[in-house]
Amino acid sequence: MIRVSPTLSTSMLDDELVLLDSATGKYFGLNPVGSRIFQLLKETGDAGMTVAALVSEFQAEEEKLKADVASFVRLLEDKGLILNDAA
Amino acid sequence: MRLDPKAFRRYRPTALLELSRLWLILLYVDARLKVWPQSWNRAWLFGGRKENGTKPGPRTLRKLNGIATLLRTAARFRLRTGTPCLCLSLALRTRSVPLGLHPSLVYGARKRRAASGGIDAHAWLKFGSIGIDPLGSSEIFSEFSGPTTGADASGRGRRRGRDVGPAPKTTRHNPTDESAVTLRLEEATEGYN
Repeated sequence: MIRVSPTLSTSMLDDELVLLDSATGKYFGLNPVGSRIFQLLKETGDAGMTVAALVSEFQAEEEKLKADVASFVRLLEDKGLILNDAA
Repeated sequence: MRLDPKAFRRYRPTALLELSRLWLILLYVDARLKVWPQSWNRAWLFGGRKENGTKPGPRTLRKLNGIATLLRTAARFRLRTGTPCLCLSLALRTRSVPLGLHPSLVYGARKRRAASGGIDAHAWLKFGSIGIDPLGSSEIFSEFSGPTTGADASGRGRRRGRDVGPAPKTTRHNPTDESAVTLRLEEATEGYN
């Protein structure tokens, strides 16, 4: 189960999401696709369901999407922006 | 900056006293932001969001705007510069407490217009629904909402007082592009302006 860090605040700039982490005092910008993935992760709480939703939205290979989402999740975890209970 | 005694002649003694007080507060705020670890400053910087801002009356509002003007003057004589909006907002918040006000310190962001892109962040104060920005530029920033556990953060940020709504689907982009998923990192306490 993937959960968004409780210390995170967000702001939408056009189609890009900016995340402000009060734990570290740092802010992060996500491009439109990163923003969409982050939204789906927050809504579904699961990387697999996020990939499934993205497959229907983007015309891309599922395997490639899976790898992209997995690396994105790792990156978010490293920065402390999400909490992955499964990890 | 060199101090010119003539510049202070137009101020009344009470204003000069306030100016000195604000200068000292700014010095303290500057030092605390630079020296204290982030974890010590966290409640100071982000706890204000939970405060229930009391709406100031017209007279108090005039006084606050007067203090904000003096604060900008005091900031010109700071020994160090770094995060003007954050320092000014924190100093104004400190001076609001004796007036019986407990404003929220709010943060916002905007995209840079430069081709290189990037994000600018800004901080200002909110007294209930009234925003007071010592630098007067809060209108162009989109306020952060959250934390996400207590609010819907699925792409809903406030931008100039209106709800932007959910983020549009990004079918024009291919997420498998190398540049599709990027994460930019900027130090908030360095980047505020």
